Amino acid sequence: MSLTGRNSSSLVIDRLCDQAKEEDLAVAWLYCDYNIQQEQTIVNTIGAIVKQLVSRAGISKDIRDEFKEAKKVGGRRPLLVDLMRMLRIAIAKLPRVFICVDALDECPQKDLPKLLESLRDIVRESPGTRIFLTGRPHVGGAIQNSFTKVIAIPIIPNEDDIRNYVEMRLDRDDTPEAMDDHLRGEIVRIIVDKMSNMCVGVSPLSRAYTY
Amino acid sequence: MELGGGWLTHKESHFPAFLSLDTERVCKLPSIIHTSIAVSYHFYTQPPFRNIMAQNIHTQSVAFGNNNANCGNTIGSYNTTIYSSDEDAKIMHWLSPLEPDKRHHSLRTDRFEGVGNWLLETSEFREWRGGEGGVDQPVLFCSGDPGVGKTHLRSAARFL
Repeated sequence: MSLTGRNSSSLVIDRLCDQAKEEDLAVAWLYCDYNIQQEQTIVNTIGAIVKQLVSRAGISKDIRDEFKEAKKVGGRRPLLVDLMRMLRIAIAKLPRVFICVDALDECPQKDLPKLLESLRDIVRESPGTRIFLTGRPHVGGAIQNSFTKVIAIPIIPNEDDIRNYVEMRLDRDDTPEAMDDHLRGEIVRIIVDKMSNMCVGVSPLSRAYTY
Repeated sequence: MELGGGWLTHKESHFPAFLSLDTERVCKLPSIIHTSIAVSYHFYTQPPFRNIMAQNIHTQSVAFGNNNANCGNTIGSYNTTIYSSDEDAKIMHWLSPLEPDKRHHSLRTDRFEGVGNWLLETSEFREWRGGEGGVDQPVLFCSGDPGVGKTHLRSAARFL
């Protein structure tokens, strides 16, 4: 999901966080990462969402009590069922909740159905909740199985994306003395042209579809 | 246009870390790890910090090269990271050792400005964002093949 997925998720999260300053909404997210799958268990993942929402809603007495109990038995971690209960309570206290999970294909495969099931339960019980997901196309089937209606948008770089990307790369050139406006213009023009031909027929706006 | 073609290849090592499949590369730089730990320790704990459970988790994160936990060493406007008391910080660690806000900060810092902004302007995103009451579409799924932008650009470089 390198460039496109993570970029999209971070943009969406930023947009929502910006809006959260003016509107009454809360945002929680997680970037799944293949490199740290051992740590991104279903419990830790849902826990991370709980944590972000609790920090907004405030730590309830229930959570403090459960934490104290856990400490008595050697710091026992909460179970998924406990976290889901805390999540429901936190969401009920918050006005509008957005949950973003990036790169579902990098989530441990055995945990993916459970993660989607948990998110589905949240949407069912708290219908105002919004879920933003990214992942390779092959996880679309699992998402479709979990939610009755999903809007899907393929993320493919468009011409502006390519131009911005090439410009950025040129800005980072460490031998700027070898560059002039003409060469720069030619590089941008040729790459954008070649790329546009390769991506012909692919218009992100026209390819949104509903499962 | 030999120069142009060589340029892209020559500069391969200058790809920002998050473009690469090995997204933790930046975290492997010793100086960055050192800085991250120092900063996060400073922000996240109020000495004396004696929460064994959380410390174990922290050590493990370093061993795994956990960029969620160790990257993004500036704590910004995300109030999820600044807790009002040591007890609150411990509760947050207990809920989950993952630190998605740090990871987000690291990604947004390295992001290519302007790339992908079209998504925020689509009617699908706007409707999803603005919809009320769950009668419409609560779930938005953005699908993409891995590194599609990067792969395509490398392919394009061959034409130069």
